[in-house]
Amino acid sequence: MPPIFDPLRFGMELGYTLIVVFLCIIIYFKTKEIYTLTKHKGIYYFRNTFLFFGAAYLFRLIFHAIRISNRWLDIYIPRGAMGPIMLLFTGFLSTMAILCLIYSTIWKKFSSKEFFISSLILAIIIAIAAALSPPIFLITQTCLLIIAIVLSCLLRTKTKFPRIFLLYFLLFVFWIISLILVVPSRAINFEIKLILEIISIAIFMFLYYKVSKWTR
Amino acid sequence: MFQIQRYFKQMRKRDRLEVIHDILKIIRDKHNSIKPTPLLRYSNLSSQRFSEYYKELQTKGLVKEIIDKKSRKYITLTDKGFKFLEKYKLILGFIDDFGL
Repeated sequence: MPPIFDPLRFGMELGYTLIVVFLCIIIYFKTKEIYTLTKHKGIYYFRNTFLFFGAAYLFRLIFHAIRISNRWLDIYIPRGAMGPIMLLFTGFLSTMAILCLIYSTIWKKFSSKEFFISSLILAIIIAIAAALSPPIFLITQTCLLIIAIVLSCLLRTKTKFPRIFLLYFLLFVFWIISLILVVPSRAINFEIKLILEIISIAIFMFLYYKVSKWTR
Repeated sequence: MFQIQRYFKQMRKRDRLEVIHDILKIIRDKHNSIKPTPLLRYSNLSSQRFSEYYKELQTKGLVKEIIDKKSRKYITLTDKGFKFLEKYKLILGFIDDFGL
């Protein structure tokens, strides 16, 4: 059964998504100059992470809007088809975001061609799985997050473990939480949802702050 | 012991960005005009590696060639090259801070 349309909840969801997408776009454009100057592969994949992530959040919102639109709009929308299609895009984009972030930290170990082909195949498989079954989507994203942590720890070239990895970890944890809040339509308490979204925005803002510190 | 450690630290292989920075810095320090042969010598690279880097710098638009009236070739920095030097510390900080 689709969730009930609540203007306040939807407004909050819309605001949350727009802020996150806006921050992702700003991070992407803020890092343009240092990428143009250096053509550094790590910076390239770091930028792409936020591009994919922003788009994933946007498709997540569209998916949510389609689910609740039957209580809200009188026009015909083929929800049966549109929902899985939006999940397909969300799955693809979020998987690419996670993979790009992994690769940005371990790019010296693999050729970018190998990475691009394998990540594209993996993202397509996960996207199809997401479209067929939302719970599988959540499981694959969680597995990917665990693999990301293990890989980044094992294959890093520098011995020092940057504190930023904790931030990356939180970023993806909150992405998975945001999927749990939308995909299986959990009737979660309004205040808890608000707190989770505020924390998620705070993580993005902190990342933006760190980026702007080096790109002024 | 510390001297040996320092020696090895100094002898470590420079990474790509460091080499690019060093080449650009040499050009700037030579009043933004240097011939290819002295640049090769000061950059402390083999001629093969130097030509690879030189091509890369040209492709990225960080340096350009100028030929004077006597048909002598000089290498100078472009605006982008100067910007790279100006932002180098920030770029390194960014790469280090984000674990890239």
